[in-house]
Amino acid sequence: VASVRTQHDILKTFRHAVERDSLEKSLLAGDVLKRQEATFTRIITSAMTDYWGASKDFSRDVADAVRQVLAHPATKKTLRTSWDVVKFVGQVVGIVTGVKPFLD
Amino acid sequence: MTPNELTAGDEADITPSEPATDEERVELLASRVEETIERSVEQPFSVAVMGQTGVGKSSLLNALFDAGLATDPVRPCTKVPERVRRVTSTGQTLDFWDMPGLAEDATADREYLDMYRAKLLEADLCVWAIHADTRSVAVERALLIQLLDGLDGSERRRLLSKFAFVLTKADLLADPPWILGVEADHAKFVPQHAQLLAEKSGFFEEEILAQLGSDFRATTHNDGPSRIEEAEIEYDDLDTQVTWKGYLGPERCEALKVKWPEHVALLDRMRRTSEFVACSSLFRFNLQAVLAQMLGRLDDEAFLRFRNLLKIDTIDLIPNVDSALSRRNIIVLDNRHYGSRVFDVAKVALRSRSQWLLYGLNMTS
Repeated sequence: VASVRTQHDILKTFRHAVERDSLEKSLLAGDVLKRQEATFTRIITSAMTDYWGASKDFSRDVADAVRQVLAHPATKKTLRTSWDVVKFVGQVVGIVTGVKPFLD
Repeated sequence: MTPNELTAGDEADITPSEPATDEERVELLASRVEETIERSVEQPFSVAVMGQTGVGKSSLLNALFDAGLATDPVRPCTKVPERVRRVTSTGQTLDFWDMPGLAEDATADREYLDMYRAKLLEADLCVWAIHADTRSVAVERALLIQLLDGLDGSERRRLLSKFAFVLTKADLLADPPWILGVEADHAKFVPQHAQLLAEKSGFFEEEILAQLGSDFRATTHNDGPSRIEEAEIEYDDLDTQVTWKGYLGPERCEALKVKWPEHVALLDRMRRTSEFVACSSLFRFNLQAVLAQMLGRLDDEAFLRFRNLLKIDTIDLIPNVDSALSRRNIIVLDNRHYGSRVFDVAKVALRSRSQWLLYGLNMTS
């Protein structure tokens, strides 16, 4: 059985590891969301090029807008499903193009 | 600028059946995006795992993704890659490609090498699992060179970009006893001494990854508007992605973090992608680090499937407390009944859980 001093060290080691792992999990969850933003941005701009024949400058403008909106904390909380993404595309493209968003 | 202001060349590509109004164009785009995402997610997440028999390939995937794969220790009698398909607890289909003949010895038949290359290039992710207690890297290095030798430059980079290098069974390498923290409905293992694991990871990185030159790359998402200006750094067209061309070792990474303090998080992510991660499936140790490394090894479509597999909150927690308590060479912190009291299970002859509780009471009273 651990001595009092060892017990203190063991507790300290364990708690330090738990805190570190908790931070790593939080960072990982944040990284997944940021990676999702980057992935959606690329998919949206790629679709614009493929289906609209949009110019690179136009796609870049929309990509910037997509990134800004995705980076907003309120968006991060709500943008969870594919349908969210579809609505979001409509809203962002609408904002950039001046077209009133067609999806609520 | 609106979609109607596209260039003359772009307009020429639009057929009469294309939508006429801006609203219809936006709707079409949204549906295309949805189709792309749905199509990607409906496909199985395909992971090819290389490693010697008994290294814990199935156990690793079970621990990471709750895959429900059989962990049969019997040596496989075939060298042909075998697929096992499972639907995980999160509902995502997972294809596990076992590469039993690879990494068994330093030479492989050309016929099998070609087969393995094709499967690895098809997979969403390739995991190279090496036993943490291995002292030689000769077999792994020789096989990696053989695999890469048959590919041109872009294929080599593509294949290497899929590889996550993992040291398995870290519970056998870190000095015992491990610490087991017990809560009401779960337990968590922590090594007392992790230095040996860090040294082992560093050894494998130097011996394998650092030898690959600029074919080895670490990619991550971009954090913000400012850029890191270094010869090894490359940004994609939309500034959404950053790639480090070559192996990013710990010393170089630390120096870069001092030079570019606003990009510490980005540099840490690229460093994680370049690591040999030591983990334990049995003790669920460091699995979040394995996932973080994998995150940097996926293309966009693979990522959409991968995110459906993740259960980050519980990745390091052992759900079966009784099973964890049955391990030998562990120190137990029991937070349920004794408020972080410490017991060395290795010194206690346990026959039953009730006896352990009785012993615990005696020791803390």
